[in-house]
Amino acid sequence: MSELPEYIQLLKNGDQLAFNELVEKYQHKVFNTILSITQHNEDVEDICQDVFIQIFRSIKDFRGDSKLSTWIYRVSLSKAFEFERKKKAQKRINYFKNVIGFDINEMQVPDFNHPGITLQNKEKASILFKAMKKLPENQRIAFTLIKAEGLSYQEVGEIMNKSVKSIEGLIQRAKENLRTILKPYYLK
Amino acid sequence: MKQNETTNLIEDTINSIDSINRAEASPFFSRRLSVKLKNNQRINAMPTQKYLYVMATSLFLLLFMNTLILKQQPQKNEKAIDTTSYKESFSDLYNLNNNSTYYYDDYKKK
Repeated sequence: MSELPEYIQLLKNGDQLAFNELVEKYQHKVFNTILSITQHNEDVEDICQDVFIQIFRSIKDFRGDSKLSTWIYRVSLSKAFEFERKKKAQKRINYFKNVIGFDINEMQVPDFNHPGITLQNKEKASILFKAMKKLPENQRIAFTLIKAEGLSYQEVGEIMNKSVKSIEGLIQRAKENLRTILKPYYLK
Repeated sequence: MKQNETTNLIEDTINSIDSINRAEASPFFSRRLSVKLKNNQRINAMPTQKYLYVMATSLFLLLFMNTLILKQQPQKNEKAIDTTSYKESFSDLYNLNNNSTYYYDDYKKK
């Protein structure tokens, strides 16, 4: 239903019911993707809302070259990384303020706990999410979409505009990097 | 042995996010989103008003600039008067010279 041209046309016409359906269908996917990338429980809802508003505004420009879900994932990833860049810039400003002498207590980044992870995996997942932050952007996107979102290599390839082979390569390198990052933690 | 344990732990950690339950998203999410979308629609529904606002502001700025330009006009006129007065004084001088010529001619006749 969500990929039918008639449905997409309804969205383009600004049909409220069609849009509600889109939100219902994709909200968990968008939420989970953004949460896995940003690892910020407080801001994730706002970013999700921005994603859907962006979709609502620019659905008219959707040409249908890719699947609607692929396009939604792209918008979500772009918003998530945009948020992360802003956070990093804010951190840099806070650091300089600290150096100059303004009394700002540098808060320690709290451990991230994904609400959808089972209790027995919570600790390990928290360590993994911390390690994932150190991966290069491409590897991180591929790893998150395949591991946290459960997408296939084919789907991730479509989202990232890459071949299945290069996605396999990205996952391979991501795992190798993660092993290197995690090894000192477990050898302590 | 310890090496094996560490390797297993690392592999377990890498696979620990395989079974995320996506439906754990906030239950208030849909309601909050629909509220924000309604506000957004309200903003989107006002392009004519925005257009009118921009037009009115442009018109006001245009009139303001025009008034400023008009205010500068008298200064130019003043300069023009100055020039005229200079010309007048010059012609006065010329007349004086003419007069002197006249006097000179008179002197010659004499």
